[in-house]
Order: sequence, then structure tokens, then C-alpha cells
Amino acid sequence: MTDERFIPDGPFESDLRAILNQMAPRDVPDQVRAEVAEVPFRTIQSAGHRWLPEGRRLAGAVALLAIVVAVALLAVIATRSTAGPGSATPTPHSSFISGFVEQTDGVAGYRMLRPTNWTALGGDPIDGRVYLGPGPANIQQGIVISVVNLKVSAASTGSGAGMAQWLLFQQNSSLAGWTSGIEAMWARDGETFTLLRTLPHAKIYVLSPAPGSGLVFLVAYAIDQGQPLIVQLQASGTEADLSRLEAQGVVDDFATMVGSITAIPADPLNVVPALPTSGPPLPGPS
Amino acid sequence: MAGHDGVGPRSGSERQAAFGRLTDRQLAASYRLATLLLGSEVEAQDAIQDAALIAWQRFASLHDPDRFDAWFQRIVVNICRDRLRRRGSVRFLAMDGLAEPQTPDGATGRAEHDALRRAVISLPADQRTVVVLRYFAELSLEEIAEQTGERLGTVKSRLHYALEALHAAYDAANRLPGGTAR
Repeated sequence: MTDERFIPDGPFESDLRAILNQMAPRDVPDQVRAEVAEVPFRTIQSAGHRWLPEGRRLAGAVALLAIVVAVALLAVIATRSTAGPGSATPTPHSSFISGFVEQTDGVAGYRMLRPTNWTALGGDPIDGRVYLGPGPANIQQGIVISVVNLKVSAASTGSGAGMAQWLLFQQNSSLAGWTSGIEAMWARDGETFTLLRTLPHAKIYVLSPAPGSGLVFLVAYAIDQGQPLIVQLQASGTEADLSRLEAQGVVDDFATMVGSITAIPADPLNVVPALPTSGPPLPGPS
Repeated sequence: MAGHDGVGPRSGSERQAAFGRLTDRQLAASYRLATLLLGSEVEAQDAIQDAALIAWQRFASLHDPDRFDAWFQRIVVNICRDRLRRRGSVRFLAMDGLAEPQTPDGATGRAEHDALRRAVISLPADQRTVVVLRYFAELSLEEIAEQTGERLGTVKSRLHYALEALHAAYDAANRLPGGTAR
């Protein structure tokens, strides 16, 4: 604790505090309160442990587990029936990723190979899906991947009128035209960027924020079936080093994921394999 | 705490109950903070749910229940900062409704207040984060550095530039005919 917080306010500081208090909402929506209360009962896996909900929740948990197992079995059967000799799941290069699994995510409108051992967060049409890499809880240190289908996102926000990349895509829906518009936007904003790789349906850039920020972004822009998709990898702390990411195979693995992405229709019920944070909550206590 | 590998009771159901009590106590403050950091109630709702999920996953590693509020707030701040960074790829140009005054009677505030409100919203995300943590969450500069993982010098610098911009907007409005020039 320092004393600076006790320096008497002038009119400016007093007004600033008042404004911030006015801008903050007064109440927590009941839905948020209820969903946060459900969190301990919805989490399936944590830090290598398996948390099984207890007491009155057990029946619901068993039912959920049965559904997850059934869906997983169906996914395995479907994969085996369609997989040819050349369609084996790639092996990851990086030690951060234990393996890839094809994720169908109708919530966010994409299908993509994603790391099997990463924690899925979020899962809404607007912000898409987030995968948190293994390691400390702290997002300041580690790797996070996010996936967004802009068409799904824009439809969920109404018109998508506030989304710069969506507007640029509407102006030019070819990969070259879209990314050219984005590059121009970055240049205007003073962003430092480099085109890292070009794939048949995607471009991967590295964005380097201000030196010392401890962040590096790999951003991929892909188009599939006329729909724009964005995959972003954020590396923080000691991982925020492009050379290190390349040497560790993270860039190759990111390119593998981007290369596999396709757009699918928005359908919240079409999430295979099931993700822990998606879907309706278990029945509450009676 | 002997024999415990984390906070609170040992059994799962007791741990769930303890987590529920602690998050419920902290929820309103965290939600308000997240809304200010993100500039959107919709985004804040998602952020709070993500923060609760991470907090629960790491709950066993929290050894001191008295530290829960600061620990949870740190998770919320990190989640919000992560969301703000992701706007580098999905950039939202508008902020839902926060530019509008929320005075109880719906009346527009003084010109300085309106200018200040707009200036806060216009701040770059990193600067707004420092301002919100300093003047809303009432954290010291050292605490802000700890919460955000930034160096103290970086925090001071961001606050300096943010306040400079806010002061400029405030003073300009103060000189207008509708202002309350002091």
C-alpha cells in the first residue's frame, strides 16, 4: 500500500471517479449470477484432476458423461468411416500440444484441428471460441488461441456494423483484397506486422505490439465457402518471442490448425467433441 | 492449513459451497470493473463467466481465503485484458451505450462530465485499464502493476498519458460556455 491513494482529490479527480461510477452498471444480471453459481458444477476437468460433481448433481453429471461418451464414440466411428490413408490426424511439433482433435464448433461456426489438451473457454457466436494453453493460470504467461467466424459473429451482433474486419470483407471478399484492406488498416494504426505464411485459403501474419509489451500475436485470416474466419494466437511473457515460437514448432502447429479450418453453419447444438463450457447448465438443486 | 493443498474445506461439496460464497461476495464489484475495462456489459458478462471458470479450476491452489478478492479480481483483469488484445484481430468500433450519461433522472451532466466520459471511452485500452484500476478500483500504482503484470514504470507512464488526455478534454469543456469554469 502506498499513500498516493490518499492524496486529496481535486475537482478533476473527483469528477473522474464520479464518471466511472456512473458508467459502471449498478446490478449484476440475474442470469450472470446464476451462471457463475453453476461453474463448480459444470467444470469437468481441471489441472489434471477430474472433478465429479457431488450430491444432488451426481445424476446430472452421470447423464452428461454418458452423452459425452456417446458423442465421442459417434465421432470416432464417423472419423474412421471417412478417414482415408492420406487423412491421418497430423502429429504436433510443439510440446505444448499433446495431439490434435478435429473440433466441430457450431457455436462459433467453424471446424478445425485444435489441441486436445488445451482448456476451452468462451464459446459464443460473437467472440468465438478460446483455447487456453497448458501452464500457469495467468494469461500474462502462456499461449491462447481464439477462433471467430466473422459471418456468424456479425449475424449475432445484428449487422456487424461495428466490426472493422467484417466491413473490410464486405468491401472485398477475396483473400487478397480482404487482407490488403486489413494491412492498410494496420498501417494507418501504426501496427507492426509481417506476413509469415500464405496458405491456399489463408494468410498468417505476425503482429508485434510495442517493444516491452511482452506480447506477440499470430493472426490468420482465412476464407472458406465465402465466409471469413480469424484464428489468433497470443503468446505472452517468455513465450512472446517469434524465434522461440518457431523453434518450438508452435508456428508450424498454428499453421496446421489454420490449414484445417472450415466454416460451418451456426448451430449451438453441433459441438463435437463436447466442450466443457458449452451447452446448457446441468439442472440446478431441487 | 496442514494437510490441505488449497483453500477452504477438503470435500468437494464444501469446496463448491465456499467458492460460491466467495464469488458471490465479489461478483458485483468484478462485474462493474469488467464492464468499465471492456466498455461493454455484454462482453463483461462473458468475461466474468470465463473468470469464474478459471478461478474454480485454480481454486485448490489458493492457500489464503483472505486473498480471494484480490486473486479473483486479478483473474478478471487478465481475462479483460486478453479480450481487449483480441480486438487486435476482431476490432469493435463502437462501445454499447456507455457513452450515454446514466444519471438517475436521465439528465445530461455538465459539459465537463460529458467530455470526460467520452475521453475515457476514447482512451487506448491499456491506458483505460490503468485509469479504471486507479480511480474506480482504487488500487495503488504498485497494486496495478501487480494485477496487470506490467512494470511500475509502464503503469506510471500509461497513467500519465491517460490523465493528460483526460485533463485536456476536461479543461477544454470547462472553457466552453456550458462549462463550469472554476
